[in-house]
Amino acid sequence: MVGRFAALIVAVTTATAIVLVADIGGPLRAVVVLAFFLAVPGLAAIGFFEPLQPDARLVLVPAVSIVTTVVVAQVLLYTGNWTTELGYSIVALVSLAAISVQVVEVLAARLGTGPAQRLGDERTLGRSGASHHRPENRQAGAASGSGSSGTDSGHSSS
Amino acid sequence: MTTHHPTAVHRPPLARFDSVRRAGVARVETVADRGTAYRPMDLRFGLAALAVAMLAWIISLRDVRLDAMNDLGLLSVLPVTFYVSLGVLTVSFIALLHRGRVGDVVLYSHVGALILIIHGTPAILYSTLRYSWAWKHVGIVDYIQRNGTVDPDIATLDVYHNWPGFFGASAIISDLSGIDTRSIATWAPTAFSLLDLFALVFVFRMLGTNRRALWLAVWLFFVTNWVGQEYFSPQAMSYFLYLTLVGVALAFFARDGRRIAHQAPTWAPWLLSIGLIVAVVSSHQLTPLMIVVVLGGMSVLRIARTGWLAVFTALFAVLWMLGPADSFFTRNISETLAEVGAPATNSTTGVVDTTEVSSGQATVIVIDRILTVGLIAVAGAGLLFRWLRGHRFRTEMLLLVAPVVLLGATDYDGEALFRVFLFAVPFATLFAAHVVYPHGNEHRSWRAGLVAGGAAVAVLVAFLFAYYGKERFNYFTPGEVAAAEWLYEQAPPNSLLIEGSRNYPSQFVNYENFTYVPISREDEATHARIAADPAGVMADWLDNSAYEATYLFITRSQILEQEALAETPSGFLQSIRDAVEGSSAFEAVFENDDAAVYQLVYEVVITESGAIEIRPVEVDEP
Repeated sequence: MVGRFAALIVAVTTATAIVLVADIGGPLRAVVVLAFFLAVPGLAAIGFFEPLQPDARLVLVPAVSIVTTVVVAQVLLYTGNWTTELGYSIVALVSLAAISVQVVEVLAARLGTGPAQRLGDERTLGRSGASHHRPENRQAGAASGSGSSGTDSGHSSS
Repeated sequence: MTTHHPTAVHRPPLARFDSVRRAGVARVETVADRGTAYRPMDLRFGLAALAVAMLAWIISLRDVRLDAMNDLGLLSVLPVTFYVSLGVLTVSFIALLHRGRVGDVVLYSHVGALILIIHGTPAILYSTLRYSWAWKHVGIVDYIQRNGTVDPDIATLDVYHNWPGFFGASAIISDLSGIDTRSIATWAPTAFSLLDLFALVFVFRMLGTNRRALWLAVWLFFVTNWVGQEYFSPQAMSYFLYLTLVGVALAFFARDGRRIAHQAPTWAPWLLSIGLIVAVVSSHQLTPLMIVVVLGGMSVLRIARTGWLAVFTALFAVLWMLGPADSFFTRNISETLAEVGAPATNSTTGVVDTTEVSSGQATVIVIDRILTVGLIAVAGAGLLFRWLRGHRFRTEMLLLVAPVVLLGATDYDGEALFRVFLFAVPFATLFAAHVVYPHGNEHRSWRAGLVAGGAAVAVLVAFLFAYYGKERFNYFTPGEVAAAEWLYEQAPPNSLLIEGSRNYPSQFVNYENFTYVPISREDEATHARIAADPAGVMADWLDNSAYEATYLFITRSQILEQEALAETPSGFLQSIRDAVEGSSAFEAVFENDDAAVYQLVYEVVITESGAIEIRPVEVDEP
């Protein structure tokens, strides 16, 4: 997953840079820039929360992206450095830094655990401590999942 | 795992471990779906219904005569194909939901189509941005884009300059994407609603809601949330972030072992939560209060380890008021404090007396209230029903009841009651959905399906009246927009703008150039004085040398709003326009069928002493 996200982030970030620098207008610019601000920071961060269900990703990707843009806008406004290109640059740098950390972790994990792991498939190997991989925890996680499939068990427990 | 009820729902709230993700989820879904395996026929039915609904909707958008809209709003001009579209969509959604034999993507698509139809219809039909406040918010973005800063001490709309997060982000996106802020704002209701859809599914999953109740609640949310707070606004963004934060709290900070791995939250959920809180606190005044109450409540009730996040929110909100927003806070402190602890007053200031408004608006308001009270009643019944069976729903109860705290804190310019509804409505629909699907395995009960379908249709009809009921004056014609554009671009800084009411495409560009005097906001005595001599009083107000230029601006939407809400006597604004139009003392410097900008006519007079004097042409006696 990290590998795919990294490729997507680099592609959209680069495309945004190109449309901004080359001053390309029209729908292409609109789509690329919207995709950048509404998805790239979230895609860059989502790996830190994995594994997640698609439902959770659907909400966390735009939420993180919006939060990042708001916070960067506030920094620009209150430091008296308002240029929107600087805003782009900061969001791009933060996003690239975040995904780079994950890519490095995954690569380090691959080197450390042998060639069997595909890039991105097992990012938690690189990030998590051994405690995350205790078999009993896995069982607990699986059981917790099926537990919520019981009749309103989510409620009865609360 | 095989011992679990085969028809019950479904997948784990959060597939927290790789083992779950890779194998467990697939296995869990198999178990969950044993009684309800996905059927290609259901999928085909769903997609066909979706296609028919979309086609009917597109056809319905042709030949809508907006100028024929009456006091009941947009419903009065929408053709039958529009209702066919929503009807097909509703029936299809309820049938698929009830049978439970399609995947989430089909259900997401149905709710997405519902959102597109409800919010896309005005966006496509109008060709102009709807709702006056959306225009004002565009004006704040325009201010930031021109000045690169905010002015916390600005005379008009100062609150936005003190909590500018939403506007700053919008300015960056609009500026770099090349999309006009008005276009962004036009599609904002659709976009925010889609985001809310994702957030609601997330939150409901984290609450462990059964699948049928979950999707019914989601659907009901979009056809009961009539208060219209998903337009281009800090509230719309903060609402999405608030729902996300609730989901994050339940997913990563819950004490309940079945929702989260048996480990302390790592730094990532903490950072995310803090980011969400910072973005909300720096963008909106009301939502942080909700966050404090909900996260604090979760901590006190030992639902989640969110105590420190609640404390952080409160501290950061106070710091924001003492820092970036100190000038606003200082100016408004007495008013703010007066509202604290006055829930009775705060809950009634925005409530309209239906005997005072037009008959169409009275109908719309009554339907608003039926929808609201009906939802609360059904939700209450659902709550009681489950409570008696020993289900305590502490988390859901907290989320439902927490918004009431807002009433104790502020009247929010008469909006408090509506915001309480806004924050409570997802959880009210959740309880309402539990009335129909308490267990989620009622797929063999035709009664449950019938009740769900009947409720969805009834609620939809009420919603269309409630949500579209004010569209006659929320819609602005191209003529009105052209007049407003001319005025706001021509007027020099330090202009006086006398406006019929606040309801028109206003303040969207160069808005700080004006001092605004809305006639509708004047007191009754002044209204009587104006009614006795409209041209004389207007000439008197416009002849003011303290300003570089003075204007009187009256539009169709101002007149229609006043006729509907009856804040001024019937025909009041039109009589002003007629009087000014018929007087030689005024000149219409810009005019079309829907709007006119007037200025005083000046004449050069040589006085008896021989001095040359420029003065306004005298108004004839009424």
